[in-house]
Amino acid sequence: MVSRRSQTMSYVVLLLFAAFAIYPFISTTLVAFNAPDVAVSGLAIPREWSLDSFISAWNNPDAGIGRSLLNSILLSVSVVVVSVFFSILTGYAFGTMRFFGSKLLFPLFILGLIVPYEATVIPLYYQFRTLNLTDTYWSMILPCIGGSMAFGTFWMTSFFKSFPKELLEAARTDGSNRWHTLWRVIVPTAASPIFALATILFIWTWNNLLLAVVMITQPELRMVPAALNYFVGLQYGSNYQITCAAAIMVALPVMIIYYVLQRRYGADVLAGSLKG
Amino acid sequence: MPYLLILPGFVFYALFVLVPIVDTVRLSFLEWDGLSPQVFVGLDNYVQVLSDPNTWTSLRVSLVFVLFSCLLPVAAALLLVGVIARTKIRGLSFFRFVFFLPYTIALAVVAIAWRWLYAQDGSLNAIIRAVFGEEFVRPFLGDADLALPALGIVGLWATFGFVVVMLLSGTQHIQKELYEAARMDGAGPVREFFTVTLPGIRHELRVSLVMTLTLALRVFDLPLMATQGGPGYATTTPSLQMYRDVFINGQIGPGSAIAVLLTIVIFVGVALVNRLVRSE
Repeated sequence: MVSRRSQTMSYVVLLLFAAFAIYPFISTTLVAFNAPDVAVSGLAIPREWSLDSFISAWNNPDAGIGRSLLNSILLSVSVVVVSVFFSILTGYAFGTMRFFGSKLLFPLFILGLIVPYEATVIPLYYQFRTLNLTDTYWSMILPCIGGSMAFGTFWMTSFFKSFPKELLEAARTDGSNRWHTLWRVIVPTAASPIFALATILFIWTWNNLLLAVVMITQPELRMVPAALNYFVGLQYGSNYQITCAAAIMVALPVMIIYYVLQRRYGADVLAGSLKG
Repeated sequence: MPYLLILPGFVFYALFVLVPIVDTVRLSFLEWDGLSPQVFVGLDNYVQVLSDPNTWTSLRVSLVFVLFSCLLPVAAALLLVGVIARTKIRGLSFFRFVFFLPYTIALAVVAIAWRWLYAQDGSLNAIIRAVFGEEFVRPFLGDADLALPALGIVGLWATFGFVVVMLLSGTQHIQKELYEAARMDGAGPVREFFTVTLPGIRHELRVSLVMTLTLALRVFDLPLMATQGGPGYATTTPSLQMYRDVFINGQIGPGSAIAVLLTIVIFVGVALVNRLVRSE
């Protein structure tokens, strides 16, 4: 039996850590609900709750938060759809088949798990510039798909490896070919790992700042993190109400997606998906 | 058939990851401003970068980040997991959700949130003012000595929950009988942690270390948005230095050399972790 005292201890420790995790969210939210021209200090609990900071952040024509949200959604959705599809294919090959060169190719993919974007961004920029593709969606979408393949392949391979061999055999004796086995037999049972992969790739793509500031300079094409970076650099970068309001609007979509998916699949699946 | 399946993914991976890596190495041996013809200069860029004191400053900044965004979160998470692994916790999924939340937020957003928290008039200074008095109030991110640890704590905040969720998911594979057996042997909480919990989550521990180490060594978003690498060079990381060299100052060769060196440091770090914490 575990004593009551150590049980209480556990809750105290958990609550302390939870407070640490949640506190910046609270302070950011509170300050953002102050009007931009009010002097703020301390916890900044608004005397009058106001949406003015959100409105001025949203309406600022130079920063273009609304437009950048659209850009980022377009980027993240297309990267996730293509990368997940390709990862299912590579994972299926590495996870269920033996073939010449697989012992070499798989580690080559895994290497990508620890290659930072810093190691690729310089030549990528100059290549895209030569092709006149900087300042286009392609300059973000293509490298992000490439960058997602290492993790996607790793994650889907470990799923396919754990898939019961008997079911694969059964499908084969039923005369269904490998392509049909994949889409009719296996993928329908894999909703949970596939959604987990999609979520994590979405978060990574959405949050990619380095590529976003390097590849895109046109304001209309700016991605969300780059728009925020621009925002902080503007003359009112020190206006905490407006910058925090902008940050909240930008963070909300990802938080909602995370909330919905973890309700459905559990935070565990998401964490499991991160076993790099 | 297997080759056809791999082909599309591999083409993207090769074109946008493998080839650029090799190309970065090539660029690091060149003198080039992005426009005029490329000149081969051998190891000159490496000599220049390694004899620049700012490089060593940025490496030191990186190591402080490793302490704050890798070692400390892992240590804190181990402590937390050690405490709660032995007990039944109600509402654990709620806590997991809360802990993981910071990791889902873009570091760009995190930087803005903490700039306010650390501001002269921000809430942290309000507490300090109330408890210790006005003379202890600091503009944390603007203070040459405090900026780096202050930013490190932001890194700790951003990665801690991720490590907790990882390690917690590891503890779920540990059979409860092992705890009972340990208790029958008269093991206290500390011995229980070292004989049951820690060996049970070795794999998750290794993955957490690798992921947070990589993140800590290459951190870019936080210093760029919270401090612009300042004051002075106090929070300039190698990534930020590389970005400035190449994309602001047109120093492509030295910037590429930094990128290559950073990648090597990451690889060596990951190899070390893999040696120290064996999975099976």
